[in-house]
Amino acid sequence: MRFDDDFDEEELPDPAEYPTLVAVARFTRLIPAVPWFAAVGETIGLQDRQEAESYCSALGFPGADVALVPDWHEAENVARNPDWNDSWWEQEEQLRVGLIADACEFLPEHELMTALTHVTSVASDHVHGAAAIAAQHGGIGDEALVRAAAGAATQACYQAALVLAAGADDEHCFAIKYRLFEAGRWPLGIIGSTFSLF
Amino acid sequence: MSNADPIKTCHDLEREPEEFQTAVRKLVVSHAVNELYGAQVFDEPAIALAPTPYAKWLTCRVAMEEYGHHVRFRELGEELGVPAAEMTPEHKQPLSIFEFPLETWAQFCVIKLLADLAEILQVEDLAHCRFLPLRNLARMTMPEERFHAQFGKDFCTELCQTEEGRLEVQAAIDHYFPMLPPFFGRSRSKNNEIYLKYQIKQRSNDEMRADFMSRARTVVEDELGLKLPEVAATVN
Repeated sequence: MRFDDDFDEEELPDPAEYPTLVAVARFTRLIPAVPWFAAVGETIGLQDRQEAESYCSALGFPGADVALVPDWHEAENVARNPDWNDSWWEQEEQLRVGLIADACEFLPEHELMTALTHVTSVASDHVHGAAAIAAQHGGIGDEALVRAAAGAATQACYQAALVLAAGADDEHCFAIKYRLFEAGRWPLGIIGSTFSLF
Repeated sequence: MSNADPIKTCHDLEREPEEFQTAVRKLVVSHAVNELYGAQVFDEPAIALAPTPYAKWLTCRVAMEEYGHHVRFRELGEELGVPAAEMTPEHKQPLSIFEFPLETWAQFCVIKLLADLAEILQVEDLAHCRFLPLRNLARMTMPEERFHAQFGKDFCTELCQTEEGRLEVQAAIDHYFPMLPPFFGRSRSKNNEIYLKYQIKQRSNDEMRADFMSRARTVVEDELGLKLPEVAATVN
């Protein structure tokens, strides 16, 4: 069994040997089909709002206000705000470390890292172009901002794949965050008690 | 040898002298190893040091691009018959410029500013390489290398807006810059002679080093308003 048909990386671990990697392989194949950044700036619908609230609660910030970020300029301002609440990032980091430990109960760490590197490589190839197109539609030609958006999306793919590799459920905050990206959004994080969703 | 015909494919290279083939392989392996190691020891750890989500995500992306360069050089190496396992830092000792213990965001920005400038010079030279697969690879990676150096410059400029940041950037330059001249190799280098002989490279190590010193001085002193430490113009 192989991860996908168009990637002949001989070093990838065999999902048949490590059952949680079957879900990771399936997930990786779907990355190119995601409408990355397609809904940024649009009014937040009920489903996205509920997902955003669930993400905040799962991360330990219940009651955070979900605020719409309307355009790329404002998205950059939010992401560059020096007063950002770094505890949400730290919380994500702790969850990431915990998931790696959980995943290593199913497969060796080297195999896990190889699989995650593959996920980020596939993601990296797709999200940058999508971010560039979306930014261009928003009248933005800033290479650095496009790359930051691509970096955020790639990180979300890595985190979501880790959830699958660890056998965690789809209410894990990384799974919810990925669904926001899947809905064409860019979650920008928490400043004060506000969760900014682009 | 002057303006010899370009070597269009890996297959064509097999008809060239063994010395030429070995030199190309050596260069490709070096790039594959050092792109990977740089991403592992500098770019990935820098994500935690970055001060804002924007800087963290941008650094994630830069790390992926550096890793992507490793993949491209590794693929070329494999086409040239080099086993993938021989293109890892575990198999081949990385360059000494990676022996710098990264501790701060300012240090990382200086590494991007100066080490990626040094890499740009190498890639610019390879962009005229007689072996076309390597020339094409160099041209492909060039825009990203330029962006990485610009990333370093932009964030150094941002840090220099405060006196504290300015001192931090200067300290990082004082510490890191003296490690860079040896990156271009020894002044009398047998490898460099072979690279020049087969037009794999176009300039001597000392010529590249002198150009680097000049460009680094421009960016550090003229553009950032900081001081570049004095270092020897030759390496023996």
